[in-house]
Parts: sequence; C-alpha cells; structure tokens
Amino acid sequence: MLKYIFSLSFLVISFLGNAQDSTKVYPQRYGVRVGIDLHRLTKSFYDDKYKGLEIVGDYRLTKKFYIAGEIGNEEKEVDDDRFNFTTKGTYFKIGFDYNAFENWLDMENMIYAGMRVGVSSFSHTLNSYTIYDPTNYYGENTISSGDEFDGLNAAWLEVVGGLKAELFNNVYLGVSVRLNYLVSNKQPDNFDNLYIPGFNRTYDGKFGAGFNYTLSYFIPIYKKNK
Amino acid sequence: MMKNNIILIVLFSFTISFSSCEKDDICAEGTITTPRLVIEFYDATDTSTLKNVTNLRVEEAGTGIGVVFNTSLATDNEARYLTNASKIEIPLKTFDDVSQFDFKFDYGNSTNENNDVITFNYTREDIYISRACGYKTNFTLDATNGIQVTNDGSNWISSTVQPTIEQAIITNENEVHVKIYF
Repeated sequence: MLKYIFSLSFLVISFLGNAQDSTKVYPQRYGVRVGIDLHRLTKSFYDDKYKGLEIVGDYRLTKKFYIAGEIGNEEKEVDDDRFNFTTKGTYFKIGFDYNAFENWLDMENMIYAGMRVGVSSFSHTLNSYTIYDPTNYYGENTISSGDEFDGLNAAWLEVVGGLKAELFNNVYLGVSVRLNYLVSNKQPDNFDNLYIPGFNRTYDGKFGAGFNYTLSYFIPIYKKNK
Repeated sequence: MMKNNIILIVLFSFTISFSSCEKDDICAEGTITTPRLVIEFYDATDTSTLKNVTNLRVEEAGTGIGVVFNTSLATDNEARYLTNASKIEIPLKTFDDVSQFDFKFDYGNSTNENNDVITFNYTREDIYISRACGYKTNFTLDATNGIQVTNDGSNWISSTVQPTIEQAIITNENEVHVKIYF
C-alpha cells in the first residue's frame, strides 16, 4: 500500500511539474540544418557497385514548416538477369517538411511529413546484355556492349515521412521514407531508365520508393517565442 | 525519455529499410521476343499447294543437334526432332550474320534419307524489350542471297523452282518468311 501511495504522489508531483512547465515559455530556435545521408555514404564503402553522396538541408520557416531539400550524386552498377548497366548522375530535390510533433519543454524533435520535387540528370552505360531467345538452341548469347546513353533526365514528386531526433547539442539523427511518382522521364533509344539517381529503381508503373538516414547539424540563427 | 523513444524508432526504421528487397521480374508469356524463321513447304509441280515434308530433321550444319519440333515429347525421343508438317520454325544465330542448316529429308530411312544444306544470310538488330525480357534480335534476310541451297547433285529441294523470300524482315512468327519448293 505504501508503494502505491508513493507512486501516486510521484505521479501528482510529475503532473504539478508539467503544470509549472506549461506556464514557462520556451523560445523556439530558428536556423539552418545541414547533414549527410549515412546510408549512401556507408553503402559507398561496403558495396563496390555503388558510389553515392547526398547532402541534406532544411531551413525553419515557421514553427511547423521547414523548407527542405537534398542534393546528391550517384553511380550505380545494376546487375540484372538480362543485362548489366551502370547509371551515373546528379539529382536535386526541393520542397517542405511539416513537423507534426508537439515537443515537450525545449526539445526540438520532429515527426514530419513533407513533399519534394525532384529532378535528375544522368547517363547509362550498357555493359552487357543477353538476347532473349526462347528456343535456346545455340545457348545464351551475352553481348558485351559498352553502349552509352547520355543526356537523360527525369522529374518526379516525392511524399516524405520521417523523424529527426536531437542526439546531443545541435546534432540530429534522422530517417525518412519516400514514395516517388515519376512525372517526366526522357527515355533513351533502345534502352530504358531502369534506375534513376535520386529516384532509385523504376518499376513498370510510375511509382518508386526511397529512403535516407541522416546525421545533421543545426546552426541556430535567431530565436522567437513561437 | 521521449527523445530516447524517437531515437529507437529511427534505428528501427533503418533496420526495416535495409531488409527491403526487390521483386524478381519474369518475362511474360506471349511477349514477342527473338523470332524464329518461319518456312513453308510447297509442291514444286503445283507451286501454290502446300506440301508436307516426310520425317524432316533440321540441324545446325555439321553439329548433329536437332531443332525441336515437338516440345511435348521427351528429349531422348527421336520424334521430338522430326516434323511431317508443311510449316516449320527454326532459330537463327543471334551472334552471327549467317546460319547454316542440314535439312535431312526422310531422316532415319537408310535408303531415302537426303541431306540438303541451306544457308541463310541476314543482318541483325538487337532491340530492347523490357527489364524482365532484356533484348531480342530481329533479322533482315539479304535480298540477293538470303536463302541459298547448296547444290549437291541430288537435292530433294527443287532446283527448278527456287526458294522465295516472302518476308525479308523477321520480327515475329505470325507470318511466313520463306517458301521452299520440292
């Protein structure tokens, strides 16, 4: 019984504590956050068929809205059943994040949803391909090609959902998942954009998906009471 | 407390995103891929009448490997490689501009078996289909020597009525590309 009383009093105290906190105003910090995608960075080390880098950034516009964007460069070798190709390119995404998380006290975490417009400029090198011959009478015929498909581009929309947590002073760890919808896609002649830097693997339809895992640093610029 | 929870969620979503995998595509049945050459046999004495061959076996010249005509039969069954129809489909090489075949008429008949060598000359074009199917090869038979029957003095194929190219551009198996008279 004593235990319950103790717990109860603890709970009441914690409520009191909260009540006190709500009267105190914590000024909101505004500024720029820049970071790097750890997934693309680490993958460049452990996957010899991938080189990529993504820099992320956001700027806090209002209490809830952030202007956000990503810029990146990727080189990926795709080894499919029917062919092997390498895609190289640069991409840029710009949009906003909306923080739906009510922070306690002076915490600055985010659970957010957002949108991006993404554009990418890229090229493919078709390293080899296999002719599809259903009879297989002469065996598989794989051709070393080396054909280049240059000057390609694509644009898409992304719906973003993610989290950002402050690890310690001004350093944030974040993750985001993205659903992509391809809007325009300049296709090569006699090949296809099977991979688009920034958009990732393409499917038969126009949808794609992606994610990143970021470590970023917040540079405070000014403070406001809301 | 809350901060730790968020960090945990971040780590958790990271683990999930890593384990995501891509589905394997399979080239859909009915997709037009590399076409075979479609040959129809006609009666040399009545050039508009289809004529069935007798136990014809077709092999890549010199290899002894028969082209399959009855896919439903077992691989060790001779009849798998024999046809008695007036229309056959044979594969062309996708890695060479020449394919040569032994056309063995009345195969297995010790007195009547007759081998005629036929050479097909063509140009090739590799065409992208899809991620699952990759590329196919389309062929264009040469106008002058697209089909040549080697004269061995005792051809079963008619030397008076020359084979004709009906459709030089081979992109599918729905049309007859070559007619042979005997």
